[in-house]
Amino acid sequence: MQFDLYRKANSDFQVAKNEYLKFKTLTSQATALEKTKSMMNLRDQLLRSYLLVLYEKVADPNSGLTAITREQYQNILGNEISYLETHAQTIASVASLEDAEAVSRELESRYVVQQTTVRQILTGLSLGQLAVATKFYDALVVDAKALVTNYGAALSVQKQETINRWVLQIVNKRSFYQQKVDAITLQNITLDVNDLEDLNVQYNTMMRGLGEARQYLVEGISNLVELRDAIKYAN
Amino acid sequence: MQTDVQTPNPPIVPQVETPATYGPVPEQTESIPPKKKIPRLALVSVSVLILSLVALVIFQKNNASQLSLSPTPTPVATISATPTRVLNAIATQSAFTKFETDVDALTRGIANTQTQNQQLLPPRLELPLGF
Repeated sequence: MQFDLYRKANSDFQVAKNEYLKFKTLTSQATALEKTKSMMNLRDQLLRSYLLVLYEKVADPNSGLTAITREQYQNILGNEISYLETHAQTIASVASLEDAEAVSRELESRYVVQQTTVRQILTGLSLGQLAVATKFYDALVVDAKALVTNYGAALSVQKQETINRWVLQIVNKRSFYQQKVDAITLQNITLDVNDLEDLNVQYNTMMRGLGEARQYLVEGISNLVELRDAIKYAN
Repeated sequence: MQTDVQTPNPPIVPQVETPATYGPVPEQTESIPPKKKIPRLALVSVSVLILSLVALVIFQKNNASQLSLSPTPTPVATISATPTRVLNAIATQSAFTKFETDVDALTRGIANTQTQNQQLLPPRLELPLGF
């Protein structure tokens, strides 16, 4: 809804701007100024709404973020939301196209840094989701080991050996996962980009890495299912 | 009176050899009508038609025989040899049942975990005004 409003306003702005650049009349200039201000207002609103949604996601206790990370993200987002509120107020005082250019440039100069922060938070949220699953995974590995220790005597020696080997493989999968996650976490913290294109490339690389990390977890869980069946059945 | 005047040679006229006719010349009392020639196209068309008919008959016969030959599918009760799995004593322990439930929950959980939430991606904005 908010995006549709912005898209319409941006389209009207483009038309008015082209008319003004073509004819340079006072009428086309006035229309261009009006459409520019309208578009800039909706652009700020859209960005602010998006950041508010992200803020809510970060605040979700099930996001998997640590308390420190959550607070850090909330502070950053809160600052950006406040900035956009202030910026939107300056649009109201814009009286010429030159003013509009200057006010727009304020946002432009901040935008790459702001978007970098947004991508860092998105990556943090993805890492948080995987961390939730990992917590359960680790607990299950502990449970599996305890089951083998406490009830393993009832199993055949051959089966005990197989189960021990499988537990080792499950732990190894977890190690591979952790290596991936550590590398992505480091890349996310030290994210430094030149422009938006560079940001997209680096973000997509991190997302691919997260997909691979998740795959290790999926394989480990699949092994846990096999392990469970091996413990459960005698044949 | 003889004259020495040379008469010019007669012009050479190309002679066309007429086929020699032998025997008596037939009496041309009645003209016999020439035999009606059947057009080649008609012959080919008729041949194709006949061949098509023959092919159709053969095809139908084959189909009929195939249909009659194919056995009517009847449901056959197959007894699947599912091996009965023998439970270990451990399977009844509460610690194991909890473990079993947790493994199922984690399997479902990881299936629902996505590394990238497309709906959370930021909107694309056009920034420089371009005046």
